[in-house]
Amino acid sequence: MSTTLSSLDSAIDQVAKGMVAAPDDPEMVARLVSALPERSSRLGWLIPQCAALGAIVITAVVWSTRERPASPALLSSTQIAAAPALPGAITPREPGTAFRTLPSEHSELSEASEPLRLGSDFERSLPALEIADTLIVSDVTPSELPASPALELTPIGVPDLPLTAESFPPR
Amino acid sequence: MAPREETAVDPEVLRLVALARTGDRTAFGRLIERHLTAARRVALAAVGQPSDADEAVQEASVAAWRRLDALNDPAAFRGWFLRIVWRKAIDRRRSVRSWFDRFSSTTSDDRPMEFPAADPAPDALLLSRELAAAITQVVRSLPRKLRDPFLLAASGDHRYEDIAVMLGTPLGTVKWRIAEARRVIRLKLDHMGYGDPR
Repeated sequence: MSTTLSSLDSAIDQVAKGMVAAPDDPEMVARLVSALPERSSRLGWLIPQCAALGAIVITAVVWSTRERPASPALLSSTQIAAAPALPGAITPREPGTAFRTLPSEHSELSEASEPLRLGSDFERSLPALEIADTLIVSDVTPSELPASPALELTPIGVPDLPLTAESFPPR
Repeated sequence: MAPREETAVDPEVLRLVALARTGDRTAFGRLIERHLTAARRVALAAVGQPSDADEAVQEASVAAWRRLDALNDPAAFRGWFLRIVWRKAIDRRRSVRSWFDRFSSTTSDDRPMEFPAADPAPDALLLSRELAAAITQVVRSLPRKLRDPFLLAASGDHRYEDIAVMLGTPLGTVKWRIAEARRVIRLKLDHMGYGDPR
């Protein structure tokens, strides 16, 4: 039995070795050498990486130095304290007094400084329209109208149409 | 199927590697020539067909030529190059085109292997052509995890340590898989009637 197993093992080894045995090819080395490309430099493989890194850096620099829209300046507390005082208290006017409100850039601030009052908001209304003068229409006669040249009409001449010998076919 | 013994550092290899790094194609060709047989066996163990194996070796040669500066130890050129060959052959085995070729074409690889019975001993007479074909069929039917280390060890070009590095598998696992592959082959041959007569 050991002889048989040994023979079988030997057969397995020989077959396995034959499965990975490559046929001789003396020209293969020459083909391999002729197919070799040009060797790049030692750091040649770094070129694509450096190019990508450079592109990222340039993009970052351009992005960081781009022009930004001016943001509204924030006033510090000292600047706010030094700001010109708002108009004082507004004296109430009598009802019916016509006045004109001037547009103000700080209308919101002015209105905010006014104390809130309940009631009619007549002070904020537009000024009353003045009464227009009476429209007087006087009678006008034709003789008072300005003279105009007489209307003249040129007579229109219609020439006689030539007669033809054509006759309409009877239906 | 004894594993290959570790060889001493060959100064000629160091010299050829140094020359090849300077762009000397002839020196690189001589380097490849020294390990071409082992490289083709490695590729054949992965892909099974000589044409695919030669293409894998060619791709590996180009890759090694380009990455020669990445070789830290010139004395380890052989193992480094064979690992590249193995990876290229595995890539080829995984490629769709290789699968298509394998299933669509009938090459000489599909024929039963010619088994040389040169040994006049009586046991060698058992190695008939039918037995060789049966063994080939059984080996091909092995799972890749068993077949790859078994065929690499069968080539006789690599130590178990080299096979473990090449496959990225622990050394103990490689030894177990090789033994398991042999056990499975024996078992299948026994079922086919080639085993121990009782």
